[in-house]
Amino acid sequence: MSAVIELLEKMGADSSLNNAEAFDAAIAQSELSVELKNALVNKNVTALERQLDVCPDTVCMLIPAEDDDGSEESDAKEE
Amino acid sequence: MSGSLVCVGIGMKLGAHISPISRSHIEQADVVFSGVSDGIVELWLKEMHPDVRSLQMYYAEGKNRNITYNEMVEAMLAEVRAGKNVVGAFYGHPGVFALAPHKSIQQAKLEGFEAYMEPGISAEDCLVADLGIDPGKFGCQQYEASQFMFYKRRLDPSAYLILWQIGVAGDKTLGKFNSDKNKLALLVGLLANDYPSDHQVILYEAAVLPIDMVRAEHIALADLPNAELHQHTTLVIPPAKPMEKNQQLLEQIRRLDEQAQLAPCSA
Ligand SMILES: C[S@@+](CC[C@H](N)C(=O)[O-])C[C@H]1O[C@@H](n2cnc3c(N)ncnc32)[C@H](O)[C@@H]1O
Repeated sequence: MSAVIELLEKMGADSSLNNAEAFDAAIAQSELSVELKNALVNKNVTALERQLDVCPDTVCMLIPAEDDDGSEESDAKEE
Repeated sequence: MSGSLVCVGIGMKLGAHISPISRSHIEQADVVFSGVSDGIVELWLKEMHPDVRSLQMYYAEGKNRNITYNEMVEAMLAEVRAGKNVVGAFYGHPGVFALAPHKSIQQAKLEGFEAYMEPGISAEDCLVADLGIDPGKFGCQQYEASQFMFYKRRLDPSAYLILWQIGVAGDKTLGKFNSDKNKLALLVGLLANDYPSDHQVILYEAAVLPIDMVRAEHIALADLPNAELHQHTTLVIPPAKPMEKNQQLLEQIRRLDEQAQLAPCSA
């Protein structure tokens, strides 16, 4: 697993990293590049995205206001 | 018939919310489709499986999202029909305000394939924890923000109101990625029937990366059109008036209780 993703996963999963000191220590102890460490310590998401070369504009909308099969009305009629 | 589809939720926060069963489905799939809200979360999924295909490519500004969602369904079903064990990994809960997971499962079942959903921790679940709100305290209504504008609803201002996808409220084209002040002003006007304009509402954004800060910004309802809204912002409107007693029903209940006391043995 990529070291930075592994560390992020650990930060999400390990409650002992919930305090600032342990969080910073985990970053310091990692084998990551200085740039990545800085991005994590400063909680700089933009810098992290840039380092990892991911698109910052991910679309998260998963539902339409109105379905194209007209289910808004048909669902109600079924009842 | 070989070929199956499982849509799983991976929760909101990277590393924190994924359930053992969702992770296992992802790891054991033949192919994984990813519908997540963050590029780094997508990298995380790619660490779990060598063949993760992003559903992001189906979005485009100006393209009606109903087309996008149908393409997502078709992409997943094509692999199911080819006999693969397919997993759709969606952020949050795959069945909460999400069309493609429901639709693809329905269609796969219709075609005779095994298909089901594994729940996940949704934005609403995070909101309950971060804002200290219990949807059961006063009740809670929730709508997709544009749908709330397009259809007449019976609003109860003594309950919580949650509006999802507030960032694209009022977009009839289903092709916009950004908010529109004029449409938001219309929404504020609609809500003004039930809420005072200085009513405090909350702009909520859950943490997705472990380094993210939660956003819980309180603003006056009237300031909504000028607020900074993102695709991932959820609007929470706390109750504006106390719950009103239903005296008529309470009276009927009182009478029933009285009758039961008079005839304690009857059913
Ligand atoms: C189509 S819904 C998908 C919800 C998702 N299935 C879930 O379980 O939370 C997209 C909307 O969810 C909400 N949402 C998504 N990410 C969020 C976040 N990080 N914080 C708060 N709300 C979020 C926003 O209202 C957004 O417009």
